[in-house]
Amino acid sequence: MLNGLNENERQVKDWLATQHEAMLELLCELVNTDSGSYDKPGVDASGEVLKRYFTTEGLTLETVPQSLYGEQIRAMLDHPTSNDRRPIILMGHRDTVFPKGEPQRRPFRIENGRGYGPGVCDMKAGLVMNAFVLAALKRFGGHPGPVLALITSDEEIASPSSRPVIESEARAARAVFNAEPSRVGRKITSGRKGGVFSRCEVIGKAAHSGANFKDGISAIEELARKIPKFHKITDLARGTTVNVGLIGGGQTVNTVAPSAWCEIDLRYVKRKDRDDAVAAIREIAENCTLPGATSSFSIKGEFLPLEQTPEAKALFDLYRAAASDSGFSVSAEFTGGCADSGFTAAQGCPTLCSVGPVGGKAHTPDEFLEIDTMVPCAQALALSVMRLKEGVLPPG
Amino acid sequence: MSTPYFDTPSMLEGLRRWVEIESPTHVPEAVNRMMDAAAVAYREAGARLERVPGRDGRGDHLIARSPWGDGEAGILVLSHLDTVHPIGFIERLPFRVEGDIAFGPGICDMKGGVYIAYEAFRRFLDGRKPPLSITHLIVSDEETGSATSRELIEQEGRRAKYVLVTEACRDGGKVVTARKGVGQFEMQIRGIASHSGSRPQDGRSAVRELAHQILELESMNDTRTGVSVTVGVVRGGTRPNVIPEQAHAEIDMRLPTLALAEELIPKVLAAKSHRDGVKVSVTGGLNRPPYEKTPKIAALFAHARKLAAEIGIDLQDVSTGGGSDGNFTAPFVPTLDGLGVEGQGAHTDQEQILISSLAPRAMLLFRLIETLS
Repeated sequence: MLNGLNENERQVKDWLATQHEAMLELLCELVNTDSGSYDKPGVDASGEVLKRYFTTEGLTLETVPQSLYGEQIRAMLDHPTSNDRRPIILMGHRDTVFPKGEPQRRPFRIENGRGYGPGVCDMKAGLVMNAFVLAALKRFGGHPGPVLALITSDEEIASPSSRPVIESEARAARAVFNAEPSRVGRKITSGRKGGVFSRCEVIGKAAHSGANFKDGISAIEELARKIPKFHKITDLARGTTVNVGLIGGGQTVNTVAPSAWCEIDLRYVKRKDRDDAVAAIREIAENCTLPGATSSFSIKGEFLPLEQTPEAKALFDLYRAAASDSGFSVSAEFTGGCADSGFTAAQGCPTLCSVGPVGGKAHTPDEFLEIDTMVPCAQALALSVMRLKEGVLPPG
Repeated sequence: MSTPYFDTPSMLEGLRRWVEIESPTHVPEAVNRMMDAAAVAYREAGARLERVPGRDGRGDHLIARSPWGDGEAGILVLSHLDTVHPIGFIERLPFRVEGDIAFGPGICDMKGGVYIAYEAFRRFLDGRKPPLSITHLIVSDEETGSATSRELIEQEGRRAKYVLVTEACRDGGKVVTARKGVGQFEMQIRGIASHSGSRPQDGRSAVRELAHQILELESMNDTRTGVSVTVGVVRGGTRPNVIPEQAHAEIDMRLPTLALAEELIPKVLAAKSHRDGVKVSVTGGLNRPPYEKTPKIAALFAHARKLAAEIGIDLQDVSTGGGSDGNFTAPFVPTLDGLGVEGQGAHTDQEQILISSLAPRAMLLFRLIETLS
């Protein structure tokens, strides 16, 4: 289908084809810049790496300062003559799940066509892809309106500081492409579950288990009463699941436990299912059946679902054709994993997620990137952006 | 022969020196310094000494024997000189006297009891020979379950006709004639890990199984029989968004009688998973057997009560849920516990004794040794 490309598209595609080494070079520097979600100096340093690239390429930069987490970065490619002023957003996060020092222990390396290192596919390769797509469009034009690369800082901890920025950008945007990795076999995401991450703390009363057992109130017993109730909220037919993923409690084996806690992970498919499930969790978390025990509930983080819409379907069709013109075919599948794309979709903005280079084993030391997918994925994304003209998406 | 005189100021001074030698169970060299001091005291008094070298990170055990009655069934006085307080705790809880109260780490549990037993014993080492031989066994690891001394305690217990344990007496000076047995267990649960978002159906939660197990264990609590079960510590899982592959619990069980122990301990050990793909395994067992008030123990208490009345104490007895080394000997030899000093706040930063209990309690031990036959 190569002859289906116009001249402008061919220029963009050909230039990206020459950038394989440059992409790897930027990726290497980015992976080796430590950026765990809670490491603000590290996350900001990794932002500097990308800012330097954007500056070199002549793009306009803005940052949203943050005191606790890394700053958000906006790299803008304007289109002064376009009637549609709503930007097309290329989104990605630069924080990783790994502890400080991980790149020193496991620096970027390539073996048998795979790249390794912390955050290599999730999602530093996606950020590199976005940066080069923006650079290509800056050089050769062809974008139908403003294009914005939005680089966030805290997705791995449910985007506490980035969420308002993402939502505000999404409200004003034409479409969002999120650069989470696509999966082996060229699978991108057709939809994602929403997630609510919460914590329940139980307080009992300590007592010696032998000498004055009767004076004690076991926080562990109360927690054990709650756990099966939390799990009962699971409704596989609706796609609602509850996992009590972490628990802890007690002091010593011979002390009645004065405290215990658990962390609860709720996933759901439809936005309307969220409030009922959260209310059910809260009801269990806040009410004790063991006399004398007390407990509390707090939401620690949240992702909204990426629901399948006709606009998202149209965006996928557009991307599939662009992928085909870049030499590969894609399919889409639903996943229960959460991402920032849920926030943009919830604002009514057509969103396509997982258009990043192919990778897997995210969040583990075996995380990998198929490096030869970087250029084709960048080409498919660039072509998709260029073809996102008025009327391509059904009215929202 | 005349009744000896127990001089309170000099006993308090001797006890102060012992309290100021800190001896946490986990620091064997510190416990050994404490054993050195006790050995010196007994050597000067004329006892025959044996020292059993420590092992497995614990200090030495000390045995002081009377020079008479070798090989005959006698009286075993059972004590420990390790404490729960860490090194340096003495800065927070220095030995000090306020009126009739003396404070210090381990002063109540149980250096005070060991010291008065030494004071009573040494009165027989200057020619005042009682009917039975005396063996004072002082162990180094009671506070962590007596793993390295249990065998020695049982061996000396089997050779004895009576066992007198110098743990502190209970509220208002009561001695102990029954203690619950102590079972301790570790439960390990292994399920199948999976991502809670993308593959929840592939996982088998170890935490979910643990919750069921805890509820079953709790249902064994029975106020009528006095059986109690405490799941003291739990942990499980790796990340909130992963179905937990592993979960762990530490369990403490108190059992008033051997019959209940034999019925319930196998039930704990045989805990079964409720779900395919999840494995439950339990290790552990009876750490201290139940100490039941047998007719012989009741008779021993009645004798002690009569002696106590002669020195103006209305001696009462009590049954407690807390274990001691007396649990190891009570199943086969009459054992009387709580013969130490009166005090409170054991294991805390308020640990203290009543100074005025030193002399009468030393006298009660002296009279027991003098009269038991």
